[in-house]
Amino acid sequence: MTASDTIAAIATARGKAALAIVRTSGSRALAIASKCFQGQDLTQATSHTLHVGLWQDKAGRTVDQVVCAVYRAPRSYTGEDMVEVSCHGGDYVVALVLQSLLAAGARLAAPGEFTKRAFVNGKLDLVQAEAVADLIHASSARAHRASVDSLRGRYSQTIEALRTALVDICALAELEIDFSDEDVAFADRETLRRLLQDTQRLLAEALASYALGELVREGVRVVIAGRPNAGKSTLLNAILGEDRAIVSSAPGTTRDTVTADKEIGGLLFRFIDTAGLHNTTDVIEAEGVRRSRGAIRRADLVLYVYDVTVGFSAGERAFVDTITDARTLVVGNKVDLAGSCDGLAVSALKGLRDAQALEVLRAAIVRAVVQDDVDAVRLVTSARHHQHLRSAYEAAGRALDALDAGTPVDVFTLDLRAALHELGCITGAISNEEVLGAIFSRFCIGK
Amino acid sequence: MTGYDVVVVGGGHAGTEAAAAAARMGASTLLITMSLEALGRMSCNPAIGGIGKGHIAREIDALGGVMGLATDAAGIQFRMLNRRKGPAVWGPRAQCDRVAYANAVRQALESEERLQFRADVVTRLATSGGSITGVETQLGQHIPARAVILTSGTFMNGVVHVGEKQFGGGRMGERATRGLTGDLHRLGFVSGRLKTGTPPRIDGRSLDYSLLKEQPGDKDPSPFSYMTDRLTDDQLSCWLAYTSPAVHATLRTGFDRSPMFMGRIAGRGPRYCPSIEDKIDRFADKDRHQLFLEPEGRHTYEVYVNGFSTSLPESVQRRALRQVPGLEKSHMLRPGYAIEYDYFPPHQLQYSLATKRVAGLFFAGQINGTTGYEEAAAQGLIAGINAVHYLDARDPVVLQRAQAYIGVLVDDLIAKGTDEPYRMFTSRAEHRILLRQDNADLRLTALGRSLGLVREARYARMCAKRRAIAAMQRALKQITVRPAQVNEYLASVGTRPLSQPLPLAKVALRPEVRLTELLKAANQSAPLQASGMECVEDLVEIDLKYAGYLHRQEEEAKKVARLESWRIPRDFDYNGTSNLSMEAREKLSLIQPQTLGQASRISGVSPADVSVLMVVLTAARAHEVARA
Repeated sequence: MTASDTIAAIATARGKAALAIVRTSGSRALAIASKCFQGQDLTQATSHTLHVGLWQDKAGRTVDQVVCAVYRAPRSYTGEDMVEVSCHGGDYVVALVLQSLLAAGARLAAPGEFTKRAFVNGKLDLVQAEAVADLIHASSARAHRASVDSLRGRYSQTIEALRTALVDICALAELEIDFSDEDVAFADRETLRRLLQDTQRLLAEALASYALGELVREGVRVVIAGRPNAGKSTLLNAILGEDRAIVSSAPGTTRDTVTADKEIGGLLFRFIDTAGLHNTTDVIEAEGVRRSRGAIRRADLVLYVYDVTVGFSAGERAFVDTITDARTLVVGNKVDLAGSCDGLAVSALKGLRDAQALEVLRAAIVRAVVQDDVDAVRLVTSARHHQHLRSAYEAAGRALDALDAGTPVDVFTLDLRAALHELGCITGAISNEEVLGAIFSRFCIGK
Repeated sequence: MTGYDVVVVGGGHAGTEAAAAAARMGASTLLITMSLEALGRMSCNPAIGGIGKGHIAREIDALGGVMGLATDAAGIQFRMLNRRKGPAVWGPRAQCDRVAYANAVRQALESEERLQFRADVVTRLATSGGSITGVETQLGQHIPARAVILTSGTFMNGVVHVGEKQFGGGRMGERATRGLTGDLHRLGFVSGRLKTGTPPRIDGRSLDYSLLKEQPGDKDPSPFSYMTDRLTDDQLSCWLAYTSPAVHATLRTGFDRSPMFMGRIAGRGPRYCPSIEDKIDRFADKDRHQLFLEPEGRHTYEVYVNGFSTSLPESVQRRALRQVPGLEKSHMLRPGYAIEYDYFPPHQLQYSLATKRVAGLFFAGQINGTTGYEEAAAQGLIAGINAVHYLDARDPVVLQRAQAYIGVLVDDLIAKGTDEPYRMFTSRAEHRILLRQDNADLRLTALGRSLGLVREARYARMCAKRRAIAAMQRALKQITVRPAQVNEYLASVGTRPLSQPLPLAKVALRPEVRLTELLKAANQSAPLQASGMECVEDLVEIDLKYAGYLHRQEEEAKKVARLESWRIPRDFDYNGTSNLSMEAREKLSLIQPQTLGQASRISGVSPADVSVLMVVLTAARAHEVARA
């Protein structure tokens, strides 16, 4: 909310594009961009100039070759100092560029914040104001859905557990302040330190596991399923452009799930080939089928492959309908052998050697996963969560330092509160009442 | 009958501060109370202050209020709580002589020229066109008034419970007020029910003090008022006693006749002030509870059994008390009781403590759902100030959360509301290290002066303190000490000796070093002599040692202040702003915050909602400018 802090965000729409733009605005925009930019010193650049150079992440690894456009206040969109970084398209690179700006000291912009700043600085007229309000509302609703989405998993439990731990430490510390003349046992500094160290370690773990968000970090899990000999492995090989799965015309060759990674459209896809799904009496094959079903349960996307010469049976339709946890893309294979089909038609063996047909399939896969803005926002949301987690971790570290330096408990709690506030920004629950509630429920207080 | 600018209804801690403030600010003021003898009465424990509450008492004093001076005059024991904790949470507390306190309050009020008194009961509020016009009383009088402040405490439909006995009353032995709640309902107000309790009083001559633990006052007592130089040396002690499993067993025999457990009391009580039956019920594994035996005054043997609040049958109370070691022969003067009373949930108020429904009508004290003398007094003061501002059509005075505990109190009440009696804790104040008991005058006295509450002598004193602080800060930076001067002292507190001369400010940064002692050891020239003024060395030391934290909190406070500067028009139509979330629209319409900062603290209002409001407000303003 502060006008003076520096914000950053991805400016261009998500999806396949040759180029993308990440922008940053605020009093430190030039200095922050300079930290990541190997080229001319942007802090010395004049307004409205372009600069080519290499973009580096915090560790000094080159991310991409980029063009930086420098705008100085007040002659910019927001009316503040701004840098627009044009990098190559694809979500992965764009996310890294954004991440490095955040690591260099920018704050992730709130939905609509660039526009809001432009408005507050008198860069937009009255008519545009209504549109700005709409934008903030709409994007915050999307971000909210995305954050609810990403919190549905194990992170919500991790963060909630961390928050509870911090509330308890706060309660212990506050207890001896507000209730020092009560007849209850107060925590000694050693206890506080131990609890805080435990919590800080968990924060560090959560931080490490967050990295760039689950989709980017862990990849999109794509399971290729279908009847034996529908051509699943051939399809996989075609997508990967290499022979990885064992391919033969004998049904049931693929007894084990095969994993291969491939970056498509800037996102990491993790392909899992499965054994054919039919009830089998072969013991080894039966084990493979069991694993296949397990793999489907953990998938983000299921490519269901069928042989168009055999047809898409009612049984298969019923099977596909039972997949509710993942999105499904039905692919009709071997169209070179038959004319038309349900779903996406390919010929893995012949057609996919054709670059254009392969592009169509790959685009369909990306579209199937990145169906709407929720997914686009999810990347950003997880960057936001990452930032709050990092701030919480740093605050916990300061609290530990303060504890070691013998800082009085009322001062030491300031950093605890700061850590709690950061986690509250992720889960949405923040309250002084909570700490008091924890005290009253755990200790017999009051005269 | 003669009319008044301001009529204050009630003569408790809220009412007396409200009346004194309004009168001092120039309003002709009338205080109406059932019994003039009860002005400034301490109806529960005979103590002022404590942690958080002591901060409020100091702030009231810094603004020229009554409470601090009355406490210093009536105090029989003074302690600074949390002295071994950090600087932000030192809390002054004083046991008071109940009679002397009420006398001191009455004297202070009687010295206000424009303040009149009347013993009567207000039964009806007179309004016209949505504004208050006066009050009607039980004695059949109509008293015209331009502003009315209601501070009726626990008296509205008060019901006292002792075991299975229950009867109407505002306090033990005093009548409750009937009719006023109904009249407020007629005006459209919503009321709720709260409960609080008080412990038995016993005869101090019947105690065996050899079995009790003495708790004496501080050797070097600190006053409540920034105007007080010296306190009495003649302090009385409090005494500690402990309950036992036998006491608990006896108390349990009365549970089936407990109005709490049997559901006869519907009102919600405070979690931090539970009755003794609540404590043994909820914390059954705890085999003893601490009791503080507090003397009620210099000229009485009456002792207040703090920690033993109860509404169990009298006979059970008596038997249980007599099982407490040291209290075996205790004679109970009056039993403990619970009291239920009406309150008006504070979302019906503006930040000025004026009601939203009736212009010129203000609520202060327990009527707003708070508990405690200090909380009540603070609201009274704010309501008194703002009643006068209302008369003069001036902007209301709203203290910020980073400015005073009083600001935290009012903001919590209005932005969050309360469904249990609200008490102050330091943990409620996020800017805690800025809001210390040692700097309430620096924070508030200049404001008090500009309002006409603070007289010249108090203001001059604050200015002198400010100058002394600045002088000492300069001197500490300029003057260096030689190792020989201070090494002996440094060794005595276990920190390494100096090897070369250093500025005093550097040496004072060490956690082990206390500034007053360092100055003594360094035997410094005039500018470094202890100022003789209260708190100066402490303040300078805190500023030095916690500079980083203070700076951070000040920055945070500035951020908040930026949002506070966005005013929201009173008739703002949240429902017409479709970009706000549904929940935000509902909450904002209910509470009607006056600034964007206040809006941001309402639960259910997200940062995105605040951004939307910001844009809409800017647009509206630009629109107005364009039209003009």
